[in-house]
Amino acid sequence: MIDEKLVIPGEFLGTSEEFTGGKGTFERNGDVYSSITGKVSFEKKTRTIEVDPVTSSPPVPTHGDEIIGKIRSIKDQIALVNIDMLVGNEKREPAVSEVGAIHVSNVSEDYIDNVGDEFNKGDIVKAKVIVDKLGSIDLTTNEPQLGVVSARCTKCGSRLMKEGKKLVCKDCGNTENRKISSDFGKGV
Amino acid sequence: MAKKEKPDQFIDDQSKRIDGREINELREVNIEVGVLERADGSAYIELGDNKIIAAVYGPRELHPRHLQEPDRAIIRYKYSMASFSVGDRKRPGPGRRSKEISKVSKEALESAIFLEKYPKSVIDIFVEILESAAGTRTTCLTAASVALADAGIPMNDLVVSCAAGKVDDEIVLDINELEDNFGDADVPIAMKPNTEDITLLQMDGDLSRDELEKSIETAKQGCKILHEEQKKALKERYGGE
Repeated sequence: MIDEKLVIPGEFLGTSEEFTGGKGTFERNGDVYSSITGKVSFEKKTRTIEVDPVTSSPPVPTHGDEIIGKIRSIKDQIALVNIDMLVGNEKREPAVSEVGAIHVSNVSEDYIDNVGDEFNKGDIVKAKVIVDKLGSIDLTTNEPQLGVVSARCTKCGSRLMKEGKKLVCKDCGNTENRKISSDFGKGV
Repeated sequence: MAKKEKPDQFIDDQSKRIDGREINELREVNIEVGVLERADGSAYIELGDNKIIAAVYGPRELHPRHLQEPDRAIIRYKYSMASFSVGDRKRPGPGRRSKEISKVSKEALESAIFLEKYPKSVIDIFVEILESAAGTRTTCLTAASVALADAGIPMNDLVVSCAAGKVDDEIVLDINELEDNFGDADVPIAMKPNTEDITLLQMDGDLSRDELEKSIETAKQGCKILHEEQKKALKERYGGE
């Protein structure tokens, strides 16, 4: 039986009358082929055939994935984030070239006037993907484990420490406000 | 290094070649998958005395941004020979030859990869020749496509590559160093084994039309044998049958 068989790219799986090709497959001239190295899995009910990768796969952030990135610019309504890493897939660079965007309404539960009140350029944030359309990735930090995980003082540039609900600079005593993640300072 | 002399005959009375191979026999092949810890995908290949490492990184963000393609990924292929890979020291770095080989090899792989799945990204492929003994561009391609499969990049087929050549008016498969240097012609091809689409075809030397057709046919047979080796290597690494 074809189920559980290890296949390589370009290997013939069956005709499209037999199967509907799912993930890890492609169709050519009415036949279904594997496009990756992986194990075949066959769903009897829907007659869908898929290939589950046995290799590592290029990490593409999709809806619900948590990402870690650096704030690259702040506007009134929006903070733009460079997506640097997918949580749970730390070994590979994410396969995206788009920047993520956090809208003010998605920063936290509270009313926020200005994104700049909660984030600063250069902060490392953990955020969740809520929209992954081609060409735009929308992020949210409206969950306790999401938000800033590392930040530097805007006055002197040294690392900020968490004290209660604020961030304090140990060097110059400056206090700053952020949407802090519960994972703040625990390392990425 | 001592200069190698041209042999009196390339094919002896028993129709054996100078290294003892049959006319349509490949050199010994060995492919290993996943040899580099930090690369996204990698492969090591030995074909006769050729020793080559291929590494794949990406798809990843491409800088500078003006090189990005809005609807697909691009490939960067770097063919590079280590300075100690040949008899006399090779001056390291890119040259006219390696740049051209990189370009044609990149184009040979392009049609196999589903580039449209990763818009604006780049897939970096680096092949480093540690020891060379004729037929490196083809061997590099064979290794690079295994490394791409190891990186989990979706492809419609693996790419296999192999050369044929002409010595003593005879078409032979997978020419070795002496046959390359003193032989009459060299025809490297790359193809997608399942559809037999040819993605690279070069010719160095003079061949008649019939001889060229025979060379391509011979090289195709070699590609099929190499494809079995690629399959074997991937299945060995990921534990299938």
